[in-house]
Amino acid sequence: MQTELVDLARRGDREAFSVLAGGAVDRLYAIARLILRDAELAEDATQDALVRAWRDLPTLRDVERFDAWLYRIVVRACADIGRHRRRAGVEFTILTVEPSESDRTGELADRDQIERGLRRLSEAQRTILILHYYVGLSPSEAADALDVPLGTAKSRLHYAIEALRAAIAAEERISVGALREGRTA
Amino acid sequence: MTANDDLERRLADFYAIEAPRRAPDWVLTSTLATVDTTRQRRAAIALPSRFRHVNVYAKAAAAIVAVVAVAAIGVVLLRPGSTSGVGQVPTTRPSPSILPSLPPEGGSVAPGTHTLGPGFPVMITFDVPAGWGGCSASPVEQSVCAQMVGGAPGPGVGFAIIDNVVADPCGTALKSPPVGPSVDDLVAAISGLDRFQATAPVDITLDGYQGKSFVVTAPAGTSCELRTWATADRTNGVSPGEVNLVRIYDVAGARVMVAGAYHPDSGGTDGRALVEQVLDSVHIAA
Repeated sequence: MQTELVDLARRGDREAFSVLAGGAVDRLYAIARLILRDAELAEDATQDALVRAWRDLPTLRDVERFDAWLYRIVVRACADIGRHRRRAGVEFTILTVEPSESDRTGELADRDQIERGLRRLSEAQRTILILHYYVGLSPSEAADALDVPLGTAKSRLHYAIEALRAAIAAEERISVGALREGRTA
Repeated sequence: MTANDDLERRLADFYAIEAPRRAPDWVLTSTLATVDTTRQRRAAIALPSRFRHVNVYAKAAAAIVAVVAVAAIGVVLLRPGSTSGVGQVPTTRPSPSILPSLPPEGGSVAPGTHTLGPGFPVMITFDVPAGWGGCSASPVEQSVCAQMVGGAPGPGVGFAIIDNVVADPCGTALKSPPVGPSVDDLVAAISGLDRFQATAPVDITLDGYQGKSFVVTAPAGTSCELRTWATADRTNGVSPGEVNLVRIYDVAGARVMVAGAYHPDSGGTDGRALVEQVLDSVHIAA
């Protein structure tokens, strides 16, 4: 069904494309939001990705690979917006709100810890984590979506998870140290 | 469960909770409104993989490149009855709509008159000789070529839209700024490829479309990978000594290249006669 729609859209059928876009927009927006961590920028990236997809569809050789191709486009759209954001000197303040004592053992603290760890990763590392752990792509599929060799995707995935683990461990050490200091003060 | 397993689970949970479920409705609405006023890219033709690294088969008979192009999608630009090519006589042609088209995945093709496969923005018909087949076929890639001879690719004819030319045939960079928009601009750029030999371009007309015809020969003695012209997708490669019979037409403002490639060293086969046979059978219907 999807391949037929892709084939039609590739030949200029806007109705077919609107069906494809409707089925993909939430997924693409979620990916963009996770990569960019900003709602407005994610909206821009999603629109940009879908318009690019429409424009470039005639160049898609294998309709079976539409999804991976779409992921590649949204990742690129995010990268472009990310570059623009950096050129414009826009920086996002990393929140440093300490979770309350009661939260430390709860889900909120857990998510906060992951959030902080992710912020220490590069955009490329965050992106492959999202494609693998959120979208559910295999390393091979992620490599396809990122347009990198499989070895690069595997390596990037490995180092991304290691970097995240190290970042979380480092933060835990800092937190424990701060608690000890607080108790001895 | 290992520490990494735990972290991976926590990460997956994190994404599941953090990811928004829905995009704001206006994102799709706005996107589709933009799409309504956005034209798709031209279906530029990328050459088949066998031609992409044709230098790997140095000294082998090469093939390809070429043609076709774009036009307004309604395509009612039919201009019947015009003379074609150099010294050709107008002939009565069957309606393109009843002709077989190239198979979507390439492969064997019955000899006779064919059209390019579905999706092509310009209707082109041509004769496929016996023993030839589709060596690439998609809405953006169409070419036919002779069967392999002794493991080497035979001559071929391709259809593509060429956007630019390499700055140096031994490099990958394209000319910047790109080659100008006219057929003459493209002919001049190809003719000027360093160490390539090109004949003087000759004015031609095919089905009412004006163009230029010339022959480009790649240098024989070179150790670098030779590249020539580029579609929107990729840059064409040629083998040392490869000859391309190039015809470029202006179709509704788009430059359509039809090129037949052969290698003079292809043992025993008259590659030039074969590609000329196909080239001379080409017609542009719209």
